[in-house]
Amino acid sequence: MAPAGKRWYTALVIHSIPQLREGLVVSVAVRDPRGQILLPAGATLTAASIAQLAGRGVLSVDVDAVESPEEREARITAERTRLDEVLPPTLTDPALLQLRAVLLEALDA
Amino acid sequence: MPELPTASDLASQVKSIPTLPSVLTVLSRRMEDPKTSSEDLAQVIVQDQAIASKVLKLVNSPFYGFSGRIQSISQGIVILGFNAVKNLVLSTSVIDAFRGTASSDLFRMDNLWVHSASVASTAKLLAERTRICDPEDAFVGGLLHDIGKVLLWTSEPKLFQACLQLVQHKQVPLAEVELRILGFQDQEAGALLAEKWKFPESLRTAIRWRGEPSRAGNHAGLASTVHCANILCTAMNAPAHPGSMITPPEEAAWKLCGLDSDASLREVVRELPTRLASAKGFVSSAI
Repeated sequence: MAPAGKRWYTALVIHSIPQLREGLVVSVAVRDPRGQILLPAGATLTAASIAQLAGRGVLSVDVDAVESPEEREARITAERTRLDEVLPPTLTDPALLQLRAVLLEALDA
Repeated sequence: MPELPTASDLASQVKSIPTLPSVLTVLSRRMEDPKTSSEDLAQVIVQDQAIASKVLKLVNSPFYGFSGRIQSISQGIVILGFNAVKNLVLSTSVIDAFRGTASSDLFRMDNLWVHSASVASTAKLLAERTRICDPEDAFVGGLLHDIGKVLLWTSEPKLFQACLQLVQHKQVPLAEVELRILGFQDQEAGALLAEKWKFPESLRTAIRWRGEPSRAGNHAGLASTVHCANILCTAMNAPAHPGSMITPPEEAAWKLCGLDSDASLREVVRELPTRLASAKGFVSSAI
């Protein structure tokens, strides 16, 4: 599974089967035509799972973009600034204050 | 000073907006017949090859996660269900109707569709959790909740641009600015367009009352779901336009969507990045 916090706001990247490599994290569950899940969101790709997907005729898989610690830090700082603008701490509405608290908590996770 | 248009003027004078394809009307009628099979519905859709190919492209997009394995409309109906495919035909038709609409720095059509698909995905997630409305209806409600903005933009671009400029410079909600400048809100124009296009009553009502879902009567579940999804998406950085402000949710709607519980809101927030990412995939396949 992805390290804590890594899936927060990471970009979605669509890889065709030949581009896949071990260690990438699946963003959106891969399903067969009957809707059954072949690989769940959050699963880390292995050589075996990549071969299995290719064997089942899957054409592409959505994976998380991988970011460096510096990129992650910069993203979190920018996101905190944005949240202060759209949901400032001076809000009085309880639902929006609750939303702000939960979003900040998720950012720190 | 020239007389300002009313919401009704806009909806009735939109020469530039084409009618929606007749396949939609036939589809709705067939769906009301319990004897209709998925093959019957597929036959109706494939009569409009342009729509059929777009629907196939969408069901095979990363949004649904079937990775290019659905090869026919009838297979899509079996896997996704009647309602989902009908809603996809509706969504595709509306997106097509506005294809080629110009953008400005304050109102970008691609951005609006990303916002709309984000609200659609979020509304579907909320509906899957609460079951206060059909998740597929929640999806299409979210996708089309802002069609009034597109109508305003295509019909009265200068007036709407002026509204958006005020939003950005004065930091006031668009709904307030629209009332002050136009005398009506974009959701009124959206609901009138939805009526002109003969959308189902639930969808028309959700579009009209997305800002005040407690007034949506029997369709308060759908309107509340779209209302809360809109707020969540703006908070999660998928706004409709620059300077978009978050107005407080109606308390009853927030509760109806189960978001008054911290644990439930946390679960939704945890799931949202994945949903929003796949919404972008939906848009790139749809536009």
